[in-house]
Amino acid sequence: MFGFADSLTAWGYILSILATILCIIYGLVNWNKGTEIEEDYRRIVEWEREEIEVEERLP
Amino acid sequence: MVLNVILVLLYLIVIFYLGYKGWRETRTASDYMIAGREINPYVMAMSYGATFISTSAIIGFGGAAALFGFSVIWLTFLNIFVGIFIAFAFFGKRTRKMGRSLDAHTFPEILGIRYKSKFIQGFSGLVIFVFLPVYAAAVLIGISRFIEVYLNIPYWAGLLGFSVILALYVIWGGLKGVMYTDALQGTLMFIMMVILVAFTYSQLGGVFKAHQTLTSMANLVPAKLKALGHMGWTASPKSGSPLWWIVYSTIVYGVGIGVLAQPQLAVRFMTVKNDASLNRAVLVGGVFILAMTGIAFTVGPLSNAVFFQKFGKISIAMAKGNIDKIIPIYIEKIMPSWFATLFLLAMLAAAMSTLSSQYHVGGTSLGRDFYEKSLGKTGGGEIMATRFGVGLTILFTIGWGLFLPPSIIAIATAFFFGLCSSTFLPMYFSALYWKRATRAGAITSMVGGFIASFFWLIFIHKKEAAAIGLCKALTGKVTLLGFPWNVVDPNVIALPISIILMIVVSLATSKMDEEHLERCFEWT
Repeated sequence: MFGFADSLTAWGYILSILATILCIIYGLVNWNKGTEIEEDYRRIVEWEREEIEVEERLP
Repeated sequence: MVLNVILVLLYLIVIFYLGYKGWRETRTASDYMIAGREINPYVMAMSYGATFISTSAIIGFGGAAALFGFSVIWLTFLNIFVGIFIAFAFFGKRTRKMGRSLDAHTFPEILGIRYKSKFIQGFSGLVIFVFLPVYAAAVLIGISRFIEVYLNIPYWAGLLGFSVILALYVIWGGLKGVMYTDALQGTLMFIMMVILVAFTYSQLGGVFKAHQTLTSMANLVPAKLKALGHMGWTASPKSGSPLWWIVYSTIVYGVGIGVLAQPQLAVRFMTVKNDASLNRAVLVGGVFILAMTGIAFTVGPLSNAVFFQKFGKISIAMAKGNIDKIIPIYIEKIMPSWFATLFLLAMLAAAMSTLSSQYHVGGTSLGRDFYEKSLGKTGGGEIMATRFGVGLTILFTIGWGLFLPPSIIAIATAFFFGLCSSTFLPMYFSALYWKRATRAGAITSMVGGFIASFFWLIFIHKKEAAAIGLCKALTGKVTLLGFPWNVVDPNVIALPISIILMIVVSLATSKMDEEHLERCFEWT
């Protein structure tokens, strides 16, 4: 199949391409889903402040 | 040559500039935090991709594919389906939300707070800090082999020279705000890989013809590989043979599943703004990974046909037995010289982006997870500990890079991925999806998976057991069990043990308190 000696290997090749197509379709279909943030804004700000602190410690 | 050096220098200047700019922006962003941190999904996905895929995947696993054949392409399928689709759509979304609700900033931290255990955070931090350099070394070896072949300098000189440049980049602020440089580097890698596969297929007269040519070369497989179960480069190894176990248990399964519990990748999810960014990143990430490992695992096997047509030798003979040199030699001997220079830049980019994230994680694992949170030390020492952690991670990585033998990249990477999956995966998955999971369950699963993995490595898995020699010293036998067990990857045994421990011990102990669970799952 497709010039490969056995079908198991050919399926690995085909499924890699199909999995990529799945990712493309999933991305397009859900492009605008989940744009709203349901979390509490103040807690996110708190999280961001802490995150910057963690980064500041790096060299 | 002069032009090549100028190109490399120009490239390094741009990368240094972007790293510096990212660092400046991170500092000023503290005033309007959210706005300053809105990461575009393309940038997020490319950054994740550039961290995920590196010289280890392209040079190390590409070389392994050149030796073992197209069956390694199954790893690409898992890289895309598990490493992108499942990782982003399932693990990513929950990790992001739980990270926010628990105010967690590192991978060990989200586990530690979720299970209310400082031990979990400290132990995870230490495991990562101690073993991450082995994987980082695989990445460093990949770029150093390329430099060795392309610039024709000794391997150790390439390794040390690159490490000095990388250390400068880190000091310049490269570890802060790395996402933009990662995205640029990812784009460069993408373009170069697409050119590489198009050129290779065209050399062999098209896709099907190329595969057929390679199929017809099955009689050229060296006798030693045939005896291990090699059936040709476009065929799966003989079922149950040592090679079959290496390809499917170590490379495909071990690395393919292990990606879900990679600390340097999991932290990426926490900085994403919303679920839409993750949804969109699935699209970009899927295409990117196909172009990275898909192409590396296609060009690798096909290099045998191209080399044979031009030099009358197969790839492993061209590389004089060192798997890690196959891809660099292919680029140098077969591709046009302008391509080789740009490919070197792409590989420098790949190594820099992955290594800087690894150094970042190494530092926070020691400084924040172990020193500050687990030992409970504060008061300024944690800053020193983090920096000390980064420094030690860099030194250990260089040490492993100089110490490890040839043909090691794929093995060293598989070791770390396998270790992470048997130690962290059941506990991480349960943290996100199973409310009945308990602290005792998580600790036994983590420690049990870790011990099982190491026991198998030291006493059963022949490759490492023979190299370490402890089993022989204690029992007089190289391994405790014979074939096929001595070729079965540790992860095949350790991950199921870790899963069983997680389930059984959790069910046998009382549920975590409702109030805590409510906080954990508040936004999920």
